[in-house]
Amino acid sequence: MPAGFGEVPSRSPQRPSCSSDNNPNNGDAGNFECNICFDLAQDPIVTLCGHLFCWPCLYKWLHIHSHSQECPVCKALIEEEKLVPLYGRGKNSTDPRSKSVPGVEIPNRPAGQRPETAPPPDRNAFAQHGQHGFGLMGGFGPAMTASFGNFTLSFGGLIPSFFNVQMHAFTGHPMYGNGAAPAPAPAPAPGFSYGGHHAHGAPQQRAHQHETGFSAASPLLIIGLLFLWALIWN
Amino acid sequence: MATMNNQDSNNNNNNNNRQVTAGPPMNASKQPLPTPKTVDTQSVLKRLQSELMALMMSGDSGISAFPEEDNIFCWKGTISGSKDTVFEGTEYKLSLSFPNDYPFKPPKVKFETGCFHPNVDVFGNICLDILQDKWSSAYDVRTILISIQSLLGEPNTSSPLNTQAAALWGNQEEYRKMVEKLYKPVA
Repeated sequence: MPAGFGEVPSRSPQRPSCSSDNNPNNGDAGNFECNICFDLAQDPIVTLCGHLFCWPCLYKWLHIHSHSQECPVCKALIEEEKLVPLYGRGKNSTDPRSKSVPGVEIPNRPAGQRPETAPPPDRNAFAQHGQHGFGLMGGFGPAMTASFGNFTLSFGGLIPSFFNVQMHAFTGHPMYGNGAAPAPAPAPAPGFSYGGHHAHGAPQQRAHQHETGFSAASPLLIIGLLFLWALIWN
Repeated sequence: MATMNNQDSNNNNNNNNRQVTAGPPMNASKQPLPTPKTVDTQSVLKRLQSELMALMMSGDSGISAFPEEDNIFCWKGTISGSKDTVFEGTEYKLSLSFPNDYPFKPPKVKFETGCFHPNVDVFGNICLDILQDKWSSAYDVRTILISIQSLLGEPNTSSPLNTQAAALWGNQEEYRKMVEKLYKPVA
């Protein structure tokens, strides 16, 4: 085959057009290259010993060519059910340089092993307040400390949790429905824009809840905000 | 052990690669392999090209390799004897011939320059486990050449291809003289 070496120089200039191409100059990309084909890993999969491969490459090595189930890099034993797929944001579309082999069926990449969803943080603290109700100012103390204790002290994280408590106290609804929704994340920081929070595209129903909650609580909000500022600027 | 290389070359074609391999395996022959353009061949090409790039960028001292004129499946490599070994100051040419299922199978590597070494026979065949049953698809031209370079200074004298060299290894002074006497660099 005249797959000559002559192709090498002529091919090189094309490379930059494809961002997924490996380039020895680019040290960063090298961290994501398959240890078998030396190209950017396709259907990336990681062994327990930490070595990255394309799933088709590793499959071919383990099932067709290797005498033993060894990691090509470090010879550690590879157990297929313990391989970890890497799911980035890229599309799943098959790459044109697909690594299919005539006559060999490469099965789907092993799926990730997903532990159960983490329990929503701070759930107990909120539930307690909701059930017992609390004196306006008296209730804030514990809520705030809970916030400080369990959230990292980022500003954005603090505010929503603060208002969650408020809303809760005034509407008497269970927090975020029945808890099926994945915890505080979906509330788009209502504290910063309670005038125009429709623009955030939050579901209408929820938005209404917020509205009623906030209008009743506006004096309280101001106190709360002052309290926060005092804490932050201390 | 001397025949291991040749046996191994036959294994390259034993399964699943029928369509790709268009001829009988050639025993380290330098004829260009007639390889139709298939997906598989493309990925071999791609890997060899990236190895070539990396080798040229790395600037390793004491080893080098480059494809033959019009066939990227056949390379010529060079290693120089390491300092403080009996091979210091000598330089050896090797040929590397890559199968169509590289890197899943190792390339066939031979000394082109005669090398008086316990694990190298008179035809230049090398007895080195990583080129046979201990091959891994994560090895590349660079690691092969480095391995052979270190094999020069640390032979395995318990299963020699060249028994005379193995017997003489214990006497490094005499061995050095022998290396110098037999060394014929190819142009």
